[in-house]
Amino acid sequence: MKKIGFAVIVGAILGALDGLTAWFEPAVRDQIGTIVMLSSLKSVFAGLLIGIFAIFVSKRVAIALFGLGVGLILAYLVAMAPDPKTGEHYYAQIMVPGAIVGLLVGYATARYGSTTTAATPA
Amino acid sequence: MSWLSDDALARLRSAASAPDLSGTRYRLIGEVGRGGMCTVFLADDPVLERRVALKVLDVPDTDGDLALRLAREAKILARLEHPGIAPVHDVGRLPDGRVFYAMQYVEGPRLDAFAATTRNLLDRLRVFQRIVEAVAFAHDRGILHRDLKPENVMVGPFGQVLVMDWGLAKALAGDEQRASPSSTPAGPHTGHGAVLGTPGYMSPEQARGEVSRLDVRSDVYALGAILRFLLKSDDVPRPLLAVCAQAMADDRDDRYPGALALNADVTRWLNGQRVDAYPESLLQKASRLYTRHKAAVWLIVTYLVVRGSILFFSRR
Repeated sequence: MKKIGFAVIVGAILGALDGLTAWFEPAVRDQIGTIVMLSSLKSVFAGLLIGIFAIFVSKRVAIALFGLGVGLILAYLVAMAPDPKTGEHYYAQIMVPGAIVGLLVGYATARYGSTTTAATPA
Repeated sequence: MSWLSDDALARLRSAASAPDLSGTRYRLIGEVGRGGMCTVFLADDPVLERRVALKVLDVPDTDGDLALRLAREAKILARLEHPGIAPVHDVGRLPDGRVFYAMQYVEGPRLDAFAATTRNLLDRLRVFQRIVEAVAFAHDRGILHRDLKPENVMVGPFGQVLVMDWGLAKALAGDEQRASPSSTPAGPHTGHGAVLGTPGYMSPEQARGEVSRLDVRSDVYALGAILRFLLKSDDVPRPLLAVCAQAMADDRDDRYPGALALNADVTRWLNGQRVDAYPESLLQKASRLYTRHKAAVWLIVTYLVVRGSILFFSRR
C-alpha cells in the first residue's frame, strides 16, 4: 500500500508541475487552471496504476517501462480532445512529456517507494 | 654436514609433533596451520561423519598457563554463537596431556589471501562488514578479541566470514561473570604491562600494555586497520579513508564508540549517504547526490529538454 500512496503523490506533484509548464505557452495560458487540474488527475491515475503494478513486480526496469506505457496511453487519451478554440490536436506536445512523466513516476516508485511487508503464510 | 634434506627433516618434525589421538574419537588427517603455542590439525570425526579442526597445544602443559589459556579460549568461543565465529564442538586432553579443542573446520583462504585475489572494492567491504558484525556480537557478549588482523579471518567458499583465533580474547570490565564465569577476568596471561597483539593492528593503549584501559575501542582500532588493509591496493574513496582514520585515532575518545557505529558509517558510504567521519563540501555533496540519483537526474533533465524543445519549436 505504501508504494501505491507514494506513486499517487509523486504522480500528483509531477502532473501538476507538468501542467504548470503550460504557462509558458501564451495560447493556452488562460486555461492553465484546467490544464493543471487535468494533468494532475491524469498523473494521479497513472500513479495509482503504477503503484498497483509495483506491488506485483519488483524489477525496476519493468516498473519504469510500465510507467512509460501508462503515461503514453493516458496522454494520448488527453491529446485526443482538440483545442476548443482552434480545433487542433497537440499530440506531440502532450504525449511526449506525458510519457516521460509516467517514466519518472514509475522509476521513482521502483527506486524510492517503500517495499511492502510480505504476508506471513498461515 | 647434513644427512637429511631440509624437506625430509621438516616431514620428520611434522610426524613427530603429530598428536596421538588414540584416546579421542578423532582421526588425524593432517596439519592445517601453526601458531605461537598451538598447532591446528584437520581431523575426521567418525561419529558425526564430518571434518573438524583440532587446535592442540604444542607442549603438554597439563596445569599450567598455556593449558588454561586454551581451555579459556574454548569457553569463550562456546559462548559466542554467531555465524561469523567458528563454533567449538568439543574440548579434551590427549594421552600425552596436551589440551585440545575441536571446532568447525573452515575451508577457504585467509583474509589476506582473499584480498590478494579480490579486486572488487564492494566485495571487500561486504566481507569487512561481516567481520565487524561478528566482533560487535562478541562485544555485546562482553568479549574483546584483542588480536584482530587479516591472518585471523577466514573467508569461506560460499561467502562465510569467520573471525578466528580468540586466544588473546579478554572479558570486558564488568562483564567477567557473563563472559567467563569459571575463569579469571582477564585470563592468566594478561596482567598489567603485558603487550599482547600484533603490531600494526594493536591500538596505542594496547601497545603500551595498558590492559586495564582496553575496551571495545581497541578492537575498533584493529578493525580500522583491517579496513585500511583491504583498501590498500584500490583507488580509495576519501570518505572511506576518513572512516579508517577515525577508527584508528590515537586517542580512543576520537574513535567510533563501537563496532556497530563503524559499520554504520561503512553502510552509509555503500548506500551513497554522507559518512559521519567525512565532512564534505557543497560540491562533494552535490557530486555524491548526483552519483546516488543519477538515473532520476537524467530523467528530469530529459523531461526539461523535451518540454523546452516543444515550447521553443511551437513558437516558431
